[in-house]
Amino acid sequence: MISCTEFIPAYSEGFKFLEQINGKDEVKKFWKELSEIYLKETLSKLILEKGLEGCFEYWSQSLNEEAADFTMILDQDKEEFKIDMHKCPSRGMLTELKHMIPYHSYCDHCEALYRPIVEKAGYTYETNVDCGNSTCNITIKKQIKNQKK
Amino acid sequence: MGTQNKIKIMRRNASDNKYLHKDFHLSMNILLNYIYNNWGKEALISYLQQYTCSFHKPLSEQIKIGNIHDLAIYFKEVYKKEEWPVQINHGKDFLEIEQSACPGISHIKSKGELPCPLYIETYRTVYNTLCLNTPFEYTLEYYDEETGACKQIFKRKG
Repeated sequence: MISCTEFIPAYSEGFKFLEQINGKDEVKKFWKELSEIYLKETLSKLILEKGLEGCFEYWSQSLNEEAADFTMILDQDKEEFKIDMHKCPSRGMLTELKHMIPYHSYCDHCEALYRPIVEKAGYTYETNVDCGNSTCNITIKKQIKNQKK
Repeated sequence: MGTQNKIKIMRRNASDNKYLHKDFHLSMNILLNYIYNNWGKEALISYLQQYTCSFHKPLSEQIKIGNIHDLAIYFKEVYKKEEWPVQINHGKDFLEIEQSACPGISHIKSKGELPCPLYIETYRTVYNTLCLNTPFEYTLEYYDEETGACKQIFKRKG
């Protein structure tokens, strides 16, 4: 059994394995499929039905269940949703497992998963990631018409 | 959570919550299916072997020196964190783990999904690999594909 509490190292090894067999493109192909399947009934549905409120709802559940250290802000007037990840539990776990080497681009999977969903729903997605310190931030805003992506 | 005008704020420390995100079972299943569907059974088994050698290295080193006590503690902790009922019996030469259902399969099915056809390998391959070059051998005495109910035995060789 691979426990859900051991999923992060299993995923990191999975990314490494896919890259070993067919290069980085294989990892990206998997992330695309994961985004389409895993987020179909959750974030994808919520953002289409409820907009930024749906983002707040989605990450409220996942970040709390993942015991993340974060601040999340939904500003309806500015039409903006932000996550400040003070310590990412996933990247933090990989850093703490001294006997394992994390996949070199582990943090890239978040953007690969979320950006397509968010942009498809008519929002912009900006992110800054500091893998070494297990921190990042995400800003999702309403797409202004004719705005360049 | 604070609300001011049209602003909602949520601030959490890691210690505010327990770490239990059951949907990771779904993500894991998607990865297993992806490798199996695109690269076949041998690739899936290779992946699980690689994962075991990497993640379980400290545990494997303990088993190599004949210490099965740490393995028993490991399983007790895992099932406790999963909040899942299990029967675990162990002595200095054996460890038996019996469950009436698998937490992963149960969650995957509760979300209307099907477990990977080779889900059994997350038991068989992982723990056979863990026992490689150790004084112990692993037996999956029975395994129900539908529920993941199973009995696993680690036993000192000879």
